[in-house]
Amino acid sequence: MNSETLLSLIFAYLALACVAFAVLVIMLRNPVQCALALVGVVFHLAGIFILLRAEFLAAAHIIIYAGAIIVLFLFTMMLLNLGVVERARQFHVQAPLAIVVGAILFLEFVVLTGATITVGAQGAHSPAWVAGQGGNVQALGQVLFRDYLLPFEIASVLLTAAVVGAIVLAKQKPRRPRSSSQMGVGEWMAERYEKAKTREQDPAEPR
Amino acid sequence: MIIPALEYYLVLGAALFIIGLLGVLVRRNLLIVFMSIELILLGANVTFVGFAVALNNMLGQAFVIFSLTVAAAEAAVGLAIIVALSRHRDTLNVDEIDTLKG
Repeated sequence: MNSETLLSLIFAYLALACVAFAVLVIMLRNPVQCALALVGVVFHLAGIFILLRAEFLAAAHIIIYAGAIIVLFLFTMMLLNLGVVERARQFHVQAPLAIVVGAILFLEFVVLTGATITVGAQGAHSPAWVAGQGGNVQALGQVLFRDYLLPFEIASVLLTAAVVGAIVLAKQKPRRPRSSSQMGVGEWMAERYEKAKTREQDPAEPR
Repeated sequence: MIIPALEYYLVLGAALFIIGLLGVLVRRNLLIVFMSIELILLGANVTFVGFAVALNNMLGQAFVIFSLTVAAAEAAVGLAIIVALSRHRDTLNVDEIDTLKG
C-alpha cells in the first residue's frame, strides 16, 4: 500500500467520523451529549488539519473549541434548568422540508465543485518556503504578525468587547432590595439616616 | 500537493456547513442552535485551510485564526444571552421567544 492510498484512507475515516458526530450533534436529545459529540467533531477535524499540514491550527482548534467553547457550553448547562427543555418536543414542524432543502443544497454544491472548480494563481508560501521558515507555526507567525498585524490587533479589540458584553449581559440585576443582613455597614447607616430624616419631616407618622 | 484532492476537503466543509444549517433550522433548543452555528464555522474553517494549502497561500490559515476569534466571541456573548434569557423567561424553546420585546 503506497502512502497516497494510506493518506486517502485516513482522510476517509476522519471525514466520515466528522460527519457522523456532526449528525449526532443535531440529533441527540440531551444537550450535554450534543456538546460531547461536538468535541468528537473538533478532534477529527484537527486530524484533518494535520493531514493538510496545518499543525498549529489543529492544536488551536482543540484548545479553543474543546478546551474553551465547549467547556463554556457545559458550564452554561449547569446554570440552566434543562429538564424542561429535554421533555419538550425537539424538532420543528418544518423539519422534513428543511432536510429536503438541505439535501438539494448539498447535491448542488457537490455537482458544482466537481464541474466548475478552477484553482487560481499559486501564492508565495510554498512548502519549501514554509520549511525555510522553520515549520508551520513559524510561517503562520510570519504572515500573521508581519503582514496582518493590524487585523490581529482589531481581533483583540473584538475579544475585549465580547468579554465586556458577556459580563454586562450575564450580571444579575437585583430584583428586590437586599435584606439588611446582606448590606455593608455604610449602606445600612445611610438607610437609617434616610429613614430618620423622613420621620422628622413627617411628624404625623407614628414612631 | 494535497492528498486527497482539494474537492474532497471542500465537500467535507460543505457537509459540515449544511448539517449545521439543518441544526439551526430544525432544532428548538436554543443551546443546540448555538452548537449548530459552531458547526457552520468549523465547515468554513475546513474550506479556508483546504484552499490555503492548495493555493500555497498562508493567508487562508491566518484567516482561520480570525474565524476562531469570532467563534469564541460569539459563544461568550451568546451564552451570556442564554443565561440572561433563562433567568427572565425560564424557557429555551426558540418558538416561545420569537419577540424582541422583553
